[in-house]
Amino acid sequence: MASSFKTRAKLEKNYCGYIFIAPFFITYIVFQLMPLINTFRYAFTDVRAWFVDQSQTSHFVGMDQFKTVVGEMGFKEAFFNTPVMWIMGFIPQLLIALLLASWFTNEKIRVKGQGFFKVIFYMPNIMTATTIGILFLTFIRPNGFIHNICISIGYVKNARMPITGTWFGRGVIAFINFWMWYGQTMIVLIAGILGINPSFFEAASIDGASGWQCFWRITLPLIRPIMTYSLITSLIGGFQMFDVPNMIGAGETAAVFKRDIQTIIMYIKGIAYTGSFAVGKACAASVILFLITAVCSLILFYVMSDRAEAKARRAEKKRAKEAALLEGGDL
Amino acid sequence: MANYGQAGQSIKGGYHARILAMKVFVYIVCILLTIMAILPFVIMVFNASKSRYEINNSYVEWNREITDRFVVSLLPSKSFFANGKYLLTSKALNLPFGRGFLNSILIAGGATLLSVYFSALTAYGFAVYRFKLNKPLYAFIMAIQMVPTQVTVISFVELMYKWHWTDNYLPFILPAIAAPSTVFFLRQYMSSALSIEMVEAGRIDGASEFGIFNRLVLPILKPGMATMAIFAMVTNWNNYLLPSLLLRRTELQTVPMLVAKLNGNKYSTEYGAIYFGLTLSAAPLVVFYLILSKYIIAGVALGGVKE
Repeated sequence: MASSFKTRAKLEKNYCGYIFIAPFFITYIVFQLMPLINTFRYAFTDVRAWFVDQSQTSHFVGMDQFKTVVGEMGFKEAFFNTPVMWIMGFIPQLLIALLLASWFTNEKIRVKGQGFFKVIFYMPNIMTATTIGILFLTFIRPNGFIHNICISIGYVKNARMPITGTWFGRGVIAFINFWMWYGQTMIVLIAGILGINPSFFEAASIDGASGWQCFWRITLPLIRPIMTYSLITSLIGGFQMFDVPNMIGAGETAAVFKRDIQTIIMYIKGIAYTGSFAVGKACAASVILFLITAVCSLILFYVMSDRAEAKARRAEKKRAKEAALLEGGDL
Repeated sequence: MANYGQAGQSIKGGYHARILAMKVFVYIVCILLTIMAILPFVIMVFNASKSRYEINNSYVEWNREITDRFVVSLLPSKSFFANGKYLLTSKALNLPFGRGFLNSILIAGGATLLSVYFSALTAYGFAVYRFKLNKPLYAFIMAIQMVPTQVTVISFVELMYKWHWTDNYLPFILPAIAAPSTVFFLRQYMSSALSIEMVEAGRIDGASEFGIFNRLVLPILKPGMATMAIFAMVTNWNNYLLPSLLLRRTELQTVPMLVAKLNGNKYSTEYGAIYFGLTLSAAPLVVFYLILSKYIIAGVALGGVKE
């Protein structure tokens, strides 16, 4: 037995596994891990962009970059705008996706042409974000489609003036995010709902549960892990929002609401590659972005994870603790 | 008894009416959402066919007689080819879209090939070999999917400048070898598509480990790899931030970079040409999407996509 196992192990050549996975890890270390470590290193120095000053010697400045960056108006604006625009887009995105997913999987409604609707609703997602950004920019500037509507309804008085309003710019970005992503969320949720064991629904309908009850008591709890996944990936992507707001905030509309839609990555890119080319400061902001994303993801993960299960686990722990205490007391 | 039957029937009738009303409502919402998804692209294509004069006076058209204004402001016009000619040949704009498409194909194609091949290789390494660090390293790959990639953009650009890799396609192609979510997807795919007996049969026949992967395993993984290739292609094609920081020479720039230039210069009053440029950049993606939509929707449903 032992000898056959030995020959099998020899035949399998398990050390080859390392050779197969080596290219991935070498590439990851060089192109992603090293820059990540450098980001943390630069954040504590006053290093400037390499191409403007190649002979520089950078100095360790401790937490100074973090202190400067947090005090800046642009930082506060960017770290306010980005999550706000993400939430404004994500709430309708999730609600519409959930609604459509529940309709498309409802056996009583039996929506025909689902394949067609899925293809159409997902289409904006694969389009180039810069193209989408400029397309909507041309819609909102004078003589654009949305601008004309705004004149018709009296929101804009002068046909030559751009549309103004702090929340208008943010609303446009949020709408584009919603428009590009609800189809994707819908398809993921449909897959999740179709993966639920049909016998749950059969049992519920035998017990006389209504469609509404089935949705709240069976569908929603069982697709919660998938919703958590959607929520967290969307949050990570949302904090990195760049292409669309960068296009909308550029050009002639820049003066109108650039500051209202400035996102974190736009701000970081701005301080690193314009003005004083302060790469150190940009890296400090990047580190803050990294930490905020991590903390928010963990909080969401904790909040969205199955509460009943967590409660049971906590109760179990408490019982174990009490038992241990009791035992300790006895001793 | 008779009464009971009647009551039952009328309840049933009400039930059917409710379902029918619901159906009507669902279709209305779906049609409205369909219009919302398509309308921006329709306006884009139609406006690409309008002259600067027509677009600049669209508000005037809009405000005429109610029946006229809507039709006139939405319908296409005759300047489609004039706009195209202006966009592609204007020295003032200097937007070499032909070259841009070639550049985008080179970058997206190269990155896709590398990411799919090496992800399959990595996934195979984890699936077939029971080496000591298998589990912790795979857990590591799962964890790094959650790292926001843009956090490292600035120091990545600094590194590329130090290596003199600017105006070079390697910074967009080589890093594609490490694509954690593709590895994850293909690892899942292998657990259903690949049998270990086949690998062992290959070994008994005396094939090398690498030969087994290339000749026996790759053909089996083709459907899964094709799905991932579609998404890698789209993601890399649409990439804008990094190329915009590293590619300075116009003749090396990609389609999204050229599109970005349509905006915010003094020639931007040529609205017809801008719409034409947007249409030009969107058209190949729409065709690509409509041909492969079946696989793309199935791929999204598998949850293998993360952007």
